[in-house]
Amino acid sequence: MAQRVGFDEARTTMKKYREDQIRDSDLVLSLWEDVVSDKCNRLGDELWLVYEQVCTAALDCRRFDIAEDCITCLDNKFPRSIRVRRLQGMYHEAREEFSEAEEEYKSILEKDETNMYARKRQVATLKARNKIGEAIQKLNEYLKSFMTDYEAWNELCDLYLSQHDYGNAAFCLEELLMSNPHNHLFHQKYAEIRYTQGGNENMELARSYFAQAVKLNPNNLRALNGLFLSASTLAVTSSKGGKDKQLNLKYATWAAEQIQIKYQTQQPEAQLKDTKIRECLEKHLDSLQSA
Amino acid sequence: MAELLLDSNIRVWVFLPIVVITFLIGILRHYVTILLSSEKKSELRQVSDSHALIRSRLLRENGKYIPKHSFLIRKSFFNNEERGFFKTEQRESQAKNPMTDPSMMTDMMKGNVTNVLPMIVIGGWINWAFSGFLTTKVPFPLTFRFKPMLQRGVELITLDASWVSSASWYFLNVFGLRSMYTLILGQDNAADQTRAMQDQMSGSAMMAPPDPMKAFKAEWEALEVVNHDWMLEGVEEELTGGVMHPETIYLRTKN
Repeated sequence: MAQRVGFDEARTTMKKYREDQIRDSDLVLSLWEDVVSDKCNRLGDELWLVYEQVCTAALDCRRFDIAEDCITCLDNKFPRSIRVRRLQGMYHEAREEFSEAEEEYKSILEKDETNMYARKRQVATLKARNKIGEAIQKLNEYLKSFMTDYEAWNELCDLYLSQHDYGNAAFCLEELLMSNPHNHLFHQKYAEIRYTQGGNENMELARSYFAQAVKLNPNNLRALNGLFLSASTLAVTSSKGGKDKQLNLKYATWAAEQIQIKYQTQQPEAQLKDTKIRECLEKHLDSLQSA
Repeated sequence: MAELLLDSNIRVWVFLPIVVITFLIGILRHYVTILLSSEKKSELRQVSDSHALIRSRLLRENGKYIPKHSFLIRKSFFNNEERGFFKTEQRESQAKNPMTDPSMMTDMMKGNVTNVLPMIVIGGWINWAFSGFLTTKVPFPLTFRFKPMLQRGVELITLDASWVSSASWYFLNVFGLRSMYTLILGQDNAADQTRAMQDQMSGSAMMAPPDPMKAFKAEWEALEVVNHDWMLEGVEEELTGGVMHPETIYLRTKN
């Protein structure tokens, strides 16, 4: 496909990817190799930005030859540049020469202690070596200074989740929720963590956040399932004949209905018969109502 | 009214020189600015202070989306009487006197040297060297009110407003050559006067507050009065109840 792309088109595509921070390294690399690299003098000053972009892409795809070329060019043009040093560090990282990478990042931070990228890369090196505990510690240190870096909060949340530390993971997700309260995926993930934690209180929270996720995006099937599960769990555990039980039953029924509707509208007839999940839902619901 | 004819020498010796001079000065300024510009270094503490302030503001605005317990934890982190962030962090005032801080002095100097000084010197020189000429005529009639704009230096009441005087031609060039600079010097060039002016208007919004202690105190007060009103209260009812009536929305936000 890349052969047929013209120079200008390739250039604008790469620019768009750069500005929106889309990481499609394969495409960037093929655009560079097939189209742009032969005519790179036509790029003017944009060339250096393109080099940086291509270098990261090349590291992603383990094309060390291209990455090396990029870094050499950039190094000749901007000696002592911190950004080039960072690329050099990433190059070491990609080759799994972690101690060299760490040295590189340390020297960057000595020059400019507010460099967020170098700090984040340090965390990444720790993570790559599977030192999750140290990575968490480092990231916490980082977040003490840069409290509004939501990417970092997200990463910390995932790190905590990998350690099954749900309380702290929930804390990180709360930060994300506040940063963007209209993102249904944050609500869904938060609810999932609370659901996993278990207990009556957490289950109620999970139900609310699943519901909010469904409200923000009615097509979020995962959140619908979550709403069904959390509401039915609550219906089972709450005292018999109480008002809570009735309400939870109502929510569970509603969620089940919505899921059924989603399947009916999305799938053709023949496939619908094989869909076991609908039967499961019905059985589950029946047992709830009879209980 | 008799048609006015301009000497063609005016074109060669006034009209074109003004264009060329302004253009070259712009390019010169671009390179001088690049030469003189010093990288602004921010201190880690300043950065983290502004991050803390933004986080606290977000907590005030969007704290209603997280459970009450979590909200209170964060509020206490910032506002606790003994251990709160805004109470314990002590910062000396950053608002230094510019006269005592040499780096600020040089920065100010550079700004003046590259922006204000050429403006005054070249403008004055053009005014002195090329004063009193009519240089060109805009090809459409204009009303009387344009006269002070287009005919600076030529105060003739009876003159048609579409004539442009040399001083005004200079100013038209200063502001009108912007797209030429973008074409030649690239997108973010320093030759652009209008951008420098906009910077002065809107700048320093993202900068760290000059006095963190004051900003902390203000943020502390603002956060202190915020009450937690959970947005997700009754969201399941809302969802399963189907259509939500407008009056209930009103009541819910009111409470």
